[in-house]
Amino acid sequence: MTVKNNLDSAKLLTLINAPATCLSLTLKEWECLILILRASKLLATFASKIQQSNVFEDTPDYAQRHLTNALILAEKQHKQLFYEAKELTRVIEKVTPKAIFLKGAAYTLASNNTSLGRIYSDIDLLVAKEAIAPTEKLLCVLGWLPEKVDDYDDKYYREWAHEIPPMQNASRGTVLDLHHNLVPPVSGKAPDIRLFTKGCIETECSGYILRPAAMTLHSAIHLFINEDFNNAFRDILDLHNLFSEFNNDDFWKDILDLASATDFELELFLATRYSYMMFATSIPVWVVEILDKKFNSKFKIKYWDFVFKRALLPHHELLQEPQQSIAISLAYIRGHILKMPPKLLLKHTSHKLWKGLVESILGKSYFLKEDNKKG
Amino acid sequence: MAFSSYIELSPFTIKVETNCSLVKKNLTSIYQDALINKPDVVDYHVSINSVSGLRSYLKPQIVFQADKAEPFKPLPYAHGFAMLEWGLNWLISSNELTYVIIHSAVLAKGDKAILFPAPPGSGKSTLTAYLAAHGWRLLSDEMALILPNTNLVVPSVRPICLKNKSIELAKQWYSEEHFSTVAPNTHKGDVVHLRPPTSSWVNRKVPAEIKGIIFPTYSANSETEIYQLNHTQSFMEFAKNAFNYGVIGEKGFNTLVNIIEQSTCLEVKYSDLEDLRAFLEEEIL
Repeated sequence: MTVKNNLDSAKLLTLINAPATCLSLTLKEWECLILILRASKLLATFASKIQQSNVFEDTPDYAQRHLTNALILAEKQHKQLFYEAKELTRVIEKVTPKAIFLKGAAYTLASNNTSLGRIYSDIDLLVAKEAIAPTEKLLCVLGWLPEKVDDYDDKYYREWAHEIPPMQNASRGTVLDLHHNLVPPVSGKAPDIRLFTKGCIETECSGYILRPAAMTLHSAIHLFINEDFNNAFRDILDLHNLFSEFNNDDFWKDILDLASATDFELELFLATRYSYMMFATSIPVWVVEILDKKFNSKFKIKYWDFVFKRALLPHHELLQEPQQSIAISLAYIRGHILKMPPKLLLKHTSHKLWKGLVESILGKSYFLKEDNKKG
Repeated sequence: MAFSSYIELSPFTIKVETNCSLVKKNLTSIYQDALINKPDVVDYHVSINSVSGLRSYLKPQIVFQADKAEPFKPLPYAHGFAMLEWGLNWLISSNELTYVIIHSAVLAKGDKAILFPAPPGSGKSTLTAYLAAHGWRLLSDEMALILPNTNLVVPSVRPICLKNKSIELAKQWYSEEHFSTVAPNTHKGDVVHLRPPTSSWVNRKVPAEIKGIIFPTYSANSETEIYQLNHTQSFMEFAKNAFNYGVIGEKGFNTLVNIIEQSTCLEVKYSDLEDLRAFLEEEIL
């Protein structure tokens, strides 16, 4: 009898939705689960769920070790984030009095359920477009150094994107992403950002966060207008947590209005649909009816289901999900097309192909400026 | 063709996959005592593979991955085994947060251990290789895994990383089959990994009590000079070498303080290894 050496997606979803079922896992299944969750940045989140279900002590020693390690790291990052947020808000106050934290940092500052066990790779901050240049300058002076990118990527960021190249704190290593919008302007879909920032909330550390409807819709946009699905599983779980946390009529009315005003109703539809399918999210019937009415093409829905039911799962060799590679490729293409008009996309893709070809012969560091090349 | 293997790297088990024959060769010779059949459960999966594509015909490069994480830029093919070792260091120090991990060599006689925290270039590897060949057991060349709130260190027996001149010296104490292939011109110079003696491996699950913290500096032709450090000095030097101290917070702080209070902390300048060994055995242990 061969020992099964992977985990199927149905089992993974059951574990996320009912953590106590982990007690029936074999050691080999634990191994798969831990590796998949670690790669998906969800190991600490899952560990928190296990703790909340009061079954932590009953899990095997092997599992407890890895879950504990993840929790320690998440705990430290959690504390660090409050410090960073306070510091940042303070130092850039003169040039940007109302900087708004986005995504993971925002969930933590808001003390959302979404923040449990969260780990961050960087901090996302939204400022007014005219404040980008002075804020960037000030941060440089204070020791936040821009990541080295080649000239093409730099141009991409500044002309086409909604964010500038990441900046890294020279002593602490924290990475900061400065945004002036939530969607690349070059896509033609960038909204009037004031519709999102209206009603933003001041947190205890004195930084701001978006109001619930804006925070949640942003999360949906971030997931579905994107070619990179590497963190998709965490992102859809975030959406489930946000929908659940803010589940009241005022919230739903606000988010539907906002989605309509900014033309992101499709993203809201997709977010609610797949959050429900994967995590049985509680969504009021009247909300579902409104969205279903707007997106009722059976053909399109079938296509989206094929792509997203697979692309939103973790991509890992230990996770068994048929046809996932095709789905991810389709999601990738879709994301690219959404972020860029076709003519520009063709030019951009050709450049990337050419760059890839050169790098495959001459090495990955070929395009970086001389002083950044190593070994 | 991919080669995969399981290594019992007590207290962890690692699965390694590689498509590089150079890495496979070194893995099997250097880790021979540690290679095992498929265990019940594995802690980490790592891979060290050559980058595919046209580049592989000109100047082949290799990449280290721990699952999806790729912490380093690609390196030349000849640095394959060294990259695996550095990758494992990174993996353990960034994930294993239930230990207080100090960047230092750890060697013991019986169950009494001495920590040798030292920056690169201080001659620590040569000292480590020497002691391991002369009656001491190696617990680690690079990382002391300390159990929090104790002064016990858990072995993680792995090859000793030797650089440049120390490679020649070590050939006086170890036969040829202990040495990996040379990784030339790395950022640390020429690098070789040395398989520690079997006695170190056999005792890989036996923790040891920290009796001394010695900050060694090799200085050619010098007499052995010993400087006593007070607690504050010891702590500052110790904390400088702590990998994960910043992450584990108060528990880490308390552990380090307790160890310093219970151990002899010295700075030692030396040129004669035998002299230093005798001193350590007589005065510290």
